[in-house]
Parts: sequence; C-alpha cells; structure tokens
Amino acid sequence: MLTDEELRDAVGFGLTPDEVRTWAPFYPLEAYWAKKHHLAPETARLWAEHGVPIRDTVKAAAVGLTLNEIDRWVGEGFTAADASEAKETGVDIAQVVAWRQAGFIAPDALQLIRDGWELGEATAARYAGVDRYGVSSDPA
Amino acid sequence: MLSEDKNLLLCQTGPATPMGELLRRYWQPIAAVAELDDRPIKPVRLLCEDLVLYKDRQGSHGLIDLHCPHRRADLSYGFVEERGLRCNYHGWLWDESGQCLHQPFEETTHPEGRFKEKVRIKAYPVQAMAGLLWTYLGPPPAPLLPDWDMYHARGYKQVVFSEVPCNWFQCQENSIDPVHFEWLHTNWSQVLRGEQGPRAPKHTRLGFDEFDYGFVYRRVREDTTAQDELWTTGRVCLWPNCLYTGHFEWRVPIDDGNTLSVGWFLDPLPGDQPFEQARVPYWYSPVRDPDTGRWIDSHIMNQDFIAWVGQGTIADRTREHLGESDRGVILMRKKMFEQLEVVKNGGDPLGTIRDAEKNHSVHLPVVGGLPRSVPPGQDGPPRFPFLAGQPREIVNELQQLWAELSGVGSEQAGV
Repeated sequence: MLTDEELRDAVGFGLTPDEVRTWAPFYPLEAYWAKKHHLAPETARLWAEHGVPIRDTVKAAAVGLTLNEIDRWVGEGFTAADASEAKETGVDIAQVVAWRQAGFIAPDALQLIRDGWELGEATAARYAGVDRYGVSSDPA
Repeated sequence: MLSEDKNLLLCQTGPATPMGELLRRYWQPIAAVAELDDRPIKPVRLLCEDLVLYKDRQGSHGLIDLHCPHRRADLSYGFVEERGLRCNYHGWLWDESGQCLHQPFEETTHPEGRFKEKVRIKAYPVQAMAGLLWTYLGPPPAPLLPDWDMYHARGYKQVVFSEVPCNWFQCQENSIDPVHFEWLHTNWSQVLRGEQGPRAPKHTRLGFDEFDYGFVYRRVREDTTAQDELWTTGRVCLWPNCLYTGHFEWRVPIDDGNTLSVGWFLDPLPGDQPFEQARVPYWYSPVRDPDTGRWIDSHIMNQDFIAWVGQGTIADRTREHLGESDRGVILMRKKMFEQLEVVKNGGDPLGTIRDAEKNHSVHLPVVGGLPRSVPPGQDGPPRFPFLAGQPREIVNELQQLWAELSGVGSEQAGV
C-alpha cells in the first residue's frame, strides 16, 4: 500500500499500477531507476535480501560485481556502494581496509586512489599544517 | 580530501574551464521577472562573465555583454528603446540577438558603409518561467528550460536573492549533506535562542538514490523510522546547482568567489478556489548584520551561508577530513567529475531535457507532496523562516490573501 506521496511519485515517475504492484515494496523512485536500467524485480529482491538497495544493485551489475563479492565487502564493514566503487576503481578489500585504518572512509579513499595518491602521501598531506613535527601523520 | 587541481576543477566556472563548460549546459536563474518590470536594466555577473540584462519597451528580454563593442562603455548605464538597449556613450543600439540596429554617426556620415551589419555583441537567450528570468550560456541548441511540477502548485510565490561571498560548489555540497540539519539548524538554533537542550534527535541512517535530475537523500533520525517521509520520499539534490525541498535554492556562480543564492518559495494558501498570482514578488536578503558586521544567523538559509563562507572563499579541500556523514558530498563530487568528462567528450550532461513532450510539470519527489496544503490548525501565514529581511509589503500581501481566501477578517489573519 503506497502513501499519498508515494502514489504521486509513482505517477510522476511514469509507473503503471501493475508496475507498482510488481515492484512492491520498493519505493517508486527505486522501481523507476530499476526499470530504467533493466533490472529484473526478482534480482532486485534477491539483492535486497542481502541488504543491497536498488541503486547499488544497478551499479554492481554495471561493474560486474557478484552477490558473493558484495557479501565479502559487507562482512568487512563496507557498504555495497563501496564494493562497486572499489571494483570500478580496481582496488581490493585489503587496500581499502588499509586506507580505512589510516582514517579515510572508503569513497574518499577511492577518489584519492583514482587521482593517483599513495596511502602514505595522502596521510602525510592530510596532516600537513596540523602537526609540524609529524606525530599525527603516523596512524599507528 | 581532494588534490588541489581536482578542487579547482570543481570550483572554476569561467569560460573554457571544465566546470564552466558543464554549468553552461544548464539554464541559470539570474533575475526576477518583476525586477525588470520595475527597472528595465540590470548588470549581471554570471559564471565570471560581465553581462547586462534588459527588457526593452516592446517587452523583449535580452542578455548581452556589459561592454559596448564600440569602445567598451558600460551598457548597464544605457537606455532601453522600443527595441533593444542603446549605449549612452555614442548611441549604438543592440538587440537581444546581438545584432547592432543603429549607429547614429556612422549612418549619418557613411550610410553606404553598412558598418552596423559588421559589428556584433555577445548575446545569450533569456526565458521567463515561474517568476524568474533564466539564461543559457552554452553552445546551441539550448536544452529546454525545465518546467518543474512545483511551479504549478497552488500557493503564494516569492523569489529571494542573496549574494554569498564564496564559491558555488561548497554551497551545492550543502544540498546533499543531511546531518547538517541536526547541528547547523536545530542544535545551533537552540543555542542561539539560549536554550540548554535537549539536543535534536540524532541521525541514525542515511541513504542516497540517483534519478534523472540528481540525487535523493534519505535519512532516519532517532525520532523517525524508515516509514517516515524523510526516508520514503527523501529530499532532492537537484542537478547541478540546486536544492529542492518543496522550495528551490539555486546556487548560481557569479564568479569563483561569489555565489548568487536564488530562493523560490511557495506558501500554501487556505481554501481550494483557483488562485493565479499575477506578479511573483522578489526581494534581496541581507547577509550581514549592519550593526555588528557579523553574518546574520537568525534564519535557516542565513545559517547555511555562515557555514559556506566559513569554509573560505574557495574551500580548501586538500585539508579536509571526510567522515561517514559526507558520503553524499563524495557521491556528488564523483558525479561531477564524470559529467565533466561527458561534456568534454561532446555529450549531453545529466538532467538536460530536450524532449518537449517530457517537459510539462516535470515531477520531483517532495515530502508532503503536491498540492501544497495548509497544515491543520494554522489560521494565518507562518513567519518566513528561510531568509532574513522579508519586506513588510510581502508579509502584508500574504496576510491579505489569507484573509480573502479563508473568508476571515483581515485582523484575524494578522493584517
């Protein structure tokens, strides 16, 4: 059963009543996004059971990520979005864990990696101007 | 954290810069329609370009170079004619297409030279919608000016401008930063009122979705659940430089160190009889307290301004430490970098509309939905909470409307 706002969203996103029923209990915007990216409702439901929202399922499909891989990332405390972005960037879990231990959340770390940063220099750079004697730049 | 070159990529908006090229693919609001009705010439600095907006006597709007191509005089001191804007220095006359229509001395002494046909001025298209004037600075053909569904909702509309002395991108990052509501607007407001607490309910969960016109962010607080509209509907970070929460807040780059905040607001009105607003009023909101020289902190968007300018004229993202609350900000930056590449490769970036069939009352999700209705128990227009300095005549006009539409005496409606 949709709320009034969800019903308006469904109409606004061009969903038919059949589509709303087919995609329940996803929100209209999610159903619209899934439809736009040719994601099957069964796939969306299966991934949702693993805690993966529609946007991340679409992204995972685009980068060729499996549910097993997602589960491994989630098991390490990352999100499905982190997993897709890491795959897209060509980085494995161990690397992102290392960045996380140095205080960089995954999407921040992945942006830096894409920009050509090494962990050591990024860590030193973020503390530049904070600690002139370099104590803080050692995460240990 | 970003490297310095990446930071500048997001912040530089002049011609031929990557972000300047991206933002030039979208219509930008630059003035209120009523503003040009009141005064037909307005200098406009937009995306580091100095321009002049005018409305000629036959009602056409034009946006042309601020400087006359003759000897560079300032056309904002010119005067409008039946058609076009005339320079006050030697009388050259320009139309909205950039064509020179008249060169008085040249045409007197050398009419055969047809010099006016050989001189042009930079000119950009202007369109009116929702009480605002919009321009497009990109290559032709221009996409369609989006016709959002909220423009058609019943209510009292007003447009508010503020000039914020910082870069546009830190303003737009605020559009996808849910946790700041808890601190900047709720907890700090409590402190400003002298209250000791309790503090606002904490955010416990954030979610982000993409759609054709940007992102939707969802949130759950200690006092809400995933059944609440804050999660089920969410709020829109409208691509590329707007926040939509039932009202619009565009962050329009004046140049790399200044942003024009353009707010478009709709107040629900009582009753259900048709209501057409002949003129959408506009006003300029001050950002500094003239007595103290400090930023005004009494209203929601003023509080946002304080956060933005506090980050520096251009936020130094080489020195930031991003946390879990910044996932939306990082998501938006990544999308910006992707879209810079799209434009560089000759593509149409996210959110541009070219199909006229699809550009009718385009839907945007909003908590509370459409149509906007007056909350139960409300018997007069609420105080305007967003920006400081709302003029008394707008307060009065809204109260008068309430009195007329609710059938109560003007005194009861607060007039």
